Amino acid sequence: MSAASISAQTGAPAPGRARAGGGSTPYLMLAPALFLLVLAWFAPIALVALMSFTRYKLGDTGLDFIGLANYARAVGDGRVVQAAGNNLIYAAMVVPASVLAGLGFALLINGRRASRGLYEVLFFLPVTATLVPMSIVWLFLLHGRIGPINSVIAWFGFAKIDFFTDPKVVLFALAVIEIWHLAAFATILYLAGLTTIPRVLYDAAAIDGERHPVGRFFLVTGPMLARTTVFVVVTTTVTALQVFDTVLVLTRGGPMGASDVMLNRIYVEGFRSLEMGYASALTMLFLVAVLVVSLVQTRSVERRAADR
Amino acid sequence: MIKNSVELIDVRKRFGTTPVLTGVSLAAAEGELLTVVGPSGCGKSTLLRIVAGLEAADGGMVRIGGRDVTQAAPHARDIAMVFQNYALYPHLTVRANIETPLRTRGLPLVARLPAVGRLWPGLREARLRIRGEAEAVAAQLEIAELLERRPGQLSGGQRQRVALARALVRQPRGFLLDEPLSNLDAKIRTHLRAELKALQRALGVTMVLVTHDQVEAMSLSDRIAVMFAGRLAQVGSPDDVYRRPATLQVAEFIGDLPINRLPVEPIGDGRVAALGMTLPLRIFPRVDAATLAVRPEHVRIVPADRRSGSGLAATVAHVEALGSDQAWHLVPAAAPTLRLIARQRSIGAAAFGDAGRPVWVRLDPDALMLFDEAGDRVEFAFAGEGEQRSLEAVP
Repeated sequence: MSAASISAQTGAPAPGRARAGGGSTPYLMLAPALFLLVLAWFAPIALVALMSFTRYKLGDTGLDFIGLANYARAVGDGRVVQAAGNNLIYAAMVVPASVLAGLGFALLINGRRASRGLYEVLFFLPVTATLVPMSIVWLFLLHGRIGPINSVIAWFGFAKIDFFTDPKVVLFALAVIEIWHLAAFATILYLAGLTTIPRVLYDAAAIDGERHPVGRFFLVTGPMLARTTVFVVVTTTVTALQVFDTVLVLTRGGPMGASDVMLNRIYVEGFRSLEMGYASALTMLFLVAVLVVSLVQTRSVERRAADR
Repeated sequence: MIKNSVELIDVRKRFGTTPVLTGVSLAAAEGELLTVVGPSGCGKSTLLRIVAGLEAADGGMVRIGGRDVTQAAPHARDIAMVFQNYALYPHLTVRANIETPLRTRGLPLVARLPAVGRLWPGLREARLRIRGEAEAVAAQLEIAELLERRPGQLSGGQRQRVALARALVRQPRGFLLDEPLSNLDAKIRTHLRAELKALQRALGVTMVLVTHDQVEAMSLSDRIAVMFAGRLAQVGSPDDVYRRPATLQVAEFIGDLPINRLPVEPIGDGRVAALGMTLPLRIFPRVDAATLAVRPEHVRIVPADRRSGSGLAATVAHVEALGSDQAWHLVPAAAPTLRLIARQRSIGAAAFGDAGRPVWVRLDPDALMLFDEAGDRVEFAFAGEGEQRSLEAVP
């Protein structure tokens, strides 16, 4: 419907005005914005794309083109495959948990009147908090020996868990930190989404005889939050795929690559091994993958929203 | 028969410290279309929401079909409501919108869930019945071809029909309509107004309608309740409210052209005069009338050179075209700060309608209304046959 109304507005430009400027004037007007767009977005990506076809190492004076060799190497690189797999497992844990927790918290907080402001501030703290210092806090909380969470586990009689050194749970431990971070983010977005739902729809639902909260959710709240959900899912997916700071600070990808992720791989190849060409190829692969994922997510929902 | 009546008994409501309703008692009888009309902020919408159960009253009682529902939840009151902005579910098709009130009552919760609900077994018959009822009411309201569309693809008038269909699809005890036509443009509004009235007559349902538009109230209602500042000023038939307004405020609110007001003073013996013109009436038992009110259609104008009998000298300020009628704005010679409005038929009236032209103004004695300082109606009797005739309209 919105697409239709936009095309209705822009579909027929005033014929006189379209010709009035004429010539190069419109492009001149666009030039500053285009210049900045090229400088800030297209140029760096083009540079990285160019470098991905070379054997460039930091410090080299010339470019040595090797075609797709870097890409071929990446596909056969066991550590890259492991990192990419970890990325997917990590996102599969983080995204649904963050989105559902965010929705749940938002629904609970939205019902509050007096304490709503307090909760909003509380839930915004993880969003504003820098993840690196917060990682240190989580390192302590989840510490294998002195961590309070392990004390609780021990109190219940279970064996203590080495969250950051056990290859089987390290990814899960990192995911917990990300969920803490992203659930708060999702909560804030859902709270904003909830305020846009017209009250009168709930009145209509009450008159129509919908007295069950679950029924009310599926009749009004859920559908009305569809657009918010698209945004939340896409942003949390992209953020989850871009996990890096907690990995670097807490595990450096270990133990034995069990928490290695793509950004960490790129970092190691580019800035430790100084293999900028190879790192660039990995960057391009990662960029395309993230792009495809977010496009698929947006498209699939926009198509459904289109026939509304 | 009170099966489908809607009654309010001394309903009170305040928001914080602001009183919104100060003891409202009102009843819509079975099959009646009762309109609550008043300016914005007078509490009429709150009143309707209290009837619906969307708002709780601070005091008083709500009865629907003779049953006390003051504490009942909206779904337990067996009423349907049409909202000002229609409040259709934007993500559902017209069909699903109309079916909703039937589905919430006829299907268990699990069966109503999206996607998985379809798989719930053993409800084929119930679903078919709901489908049939929704289609029947859609056909009745001539929106059958819109069933698969979504509200976003409909015009205002079509949305209003869908909202009506959603209300009519059940057989509730009462229909509540909150400003149902005010979001439509004038032509569709007039059309839907007539249709709504016909529908209400045909179905014989009880309707309580809230509007700020006195024209709508006058044209639709069996009875009108005029409300100001959380209080009912008058309840009566449209004709009654128009001809015998209980207060000056009601007299001013009802009627599309503003009613004329003239100050009156007692001249002894229960007689009063307005702008030096003795009125052909006698007030009893009190003589404290303060204002004379007369509707524009009861103000007669003749050219000044044809003046005769009791009346007022005035000049024409300007003439406003209203289509079939004209509104003449007049300045009485005795009180140049006042304005009188006279409604004249357009045909042949323009002959002496130039601004500044002197005219002779006469008031229909039958249509005079008197109000006291407080704005309440003052009763009076005509003084005598002779005098009444002397004020009669010129041919």
